[in-house]
Amino acid sequence: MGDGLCPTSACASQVRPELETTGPLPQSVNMEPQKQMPMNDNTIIRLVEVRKSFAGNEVLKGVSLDVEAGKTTIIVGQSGQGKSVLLKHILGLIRPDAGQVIVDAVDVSRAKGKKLKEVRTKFGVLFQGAALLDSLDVLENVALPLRQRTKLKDAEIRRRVIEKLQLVGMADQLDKYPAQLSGGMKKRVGLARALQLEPQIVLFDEPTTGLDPVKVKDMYKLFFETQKLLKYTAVIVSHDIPKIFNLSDMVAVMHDGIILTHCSYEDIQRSENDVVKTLINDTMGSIYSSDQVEQ
Amino acid sequence: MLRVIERLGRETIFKVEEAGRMGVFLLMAVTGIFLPPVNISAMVKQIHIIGSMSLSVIVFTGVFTGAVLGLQGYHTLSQFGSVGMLGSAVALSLLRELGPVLSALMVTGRAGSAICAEIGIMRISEQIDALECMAVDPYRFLVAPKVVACLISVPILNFVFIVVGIFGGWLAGVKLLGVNEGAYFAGMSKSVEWADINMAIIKSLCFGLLIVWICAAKGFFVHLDRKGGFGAEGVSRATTMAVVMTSVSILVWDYLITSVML
Repeated sequence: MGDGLCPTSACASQVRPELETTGPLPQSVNMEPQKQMPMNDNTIIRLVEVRKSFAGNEVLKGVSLDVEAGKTTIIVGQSGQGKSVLLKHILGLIRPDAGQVIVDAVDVSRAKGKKLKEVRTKFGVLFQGAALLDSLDVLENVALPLRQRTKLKDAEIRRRVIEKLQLVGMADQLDKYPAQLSGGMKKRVGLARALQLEPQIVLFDEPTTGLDPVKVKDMYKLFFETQKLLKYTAVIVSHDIPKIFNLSDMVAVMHDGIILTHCSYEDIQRSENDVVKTLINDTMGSIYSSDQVEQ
Repeated sequence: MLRVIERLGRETIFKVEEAGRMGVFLLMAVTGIFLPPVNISAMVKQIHIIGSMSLSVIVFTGVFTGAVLGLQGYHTLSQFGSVGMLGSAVALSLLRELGPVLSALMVTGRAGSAICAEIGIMRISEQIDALECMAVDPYRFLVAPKVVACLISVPILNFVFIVVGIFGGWLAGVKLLGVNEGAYFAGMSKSVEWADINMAIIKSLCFGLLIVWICAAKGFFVHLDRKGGFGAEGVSRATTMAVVMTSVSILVWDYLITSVML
């Protein structure tokens, strides 16, 4: 890597020399476009120099990132750094001003209509607030993808819904409405819905925000259990203490609209980059904490 | 001077964009009606919410509008000795103007605002994003059933309004003021033509479409509001705007349709 940030070749992107500084975390980093990495055969999501501004405010300033199939990638960064905007770009909900978002060889930033719909069938998404349809009960929320995208009979839909709800421990709450559920319960139902069609990729937008420590642990446990079972590619966006750093395959640190570094958990622990160290230790808690979730 | 031109240009671009967005929205919503899987149960549910649940408001306002027409008509016509024309006056006023316009305004206030608020809340709470992520077309899933419901319910509610309005006129004119019952109904059947009924149907269909189009679009695009479209305040502003815009549009279209059809 040359700059000493990621000691092994597992690093997927580099920190530019101007970021190799000491002292407090800079508010803004003057960035240059990141170099385009060679396409890995196993790459399922690829962002190339993605830029996006809202009303003159540049939120993404040239984000490049590769996500490998079947792996868990965690994107961490402080609030307001553009992590959720990045997820929406991956889903094709927002189009970039410049750059490309490639999902399974399809350029989502340019795809429209059927093509975009096809790409979206590969995804399951757990939104920050779960985004359950509040006029539908738990059963109907989880059944929604099946009702809309398959021609299964009611009995089969019900069977599959119960199966997924059992996976997240919510099978006894079928007739409850989202307003009657707690934050953690909503997220579990959201996860059941996201997994309903057994997608290739599951995106988690701040999956533990608003949950108490016990529920956070439960949520991550649930995540690992479902991933072990369904073998999906996971992209987790989080601003809080990433207790599952040690269990992830890759970690990307986002700051001021760019990916500062993207490498393995082991590499990031050895990072000499002060910006990354400050960000990890001061703003999100120590990744060397012993209070990590055991796999 | 430069600032004025800049502002004018920005305003023009925004308005053109908004018009384009509204046009595409209508197209997608209407197309969504015919895209499989057609959700009949959602349409029936919306007919219940928009149509059946507006019935009491329509009946109540219809009776009193007819009664007022009966009272006013009686006092005006009695000056010319043509009280026998009261039935015609009430029926024609209701069929050509008051029925379609007032029933549409009532539906706008009761159901249009609800449509806008419901879709607006779904937008700000990422429910519409979630639908898109599940590859579910929100136009087909959310808007199309409401379009069908409005196109069916508003004309029916219009005729309910007219019928109960005629009944209200009968109560005020015949029962209260002593107009001959035979004259009231005979005058009505003589003067009302198919063209009047057609006009009522066309107007109510257009108004139904306007209600669902403007109200649903205002909710759907609440996040694009320049004054900040997020949160409860954004939805509240969008709902107010939707009701005002729909009401004004109904009156403008009423004039246009009348001028073409008369």
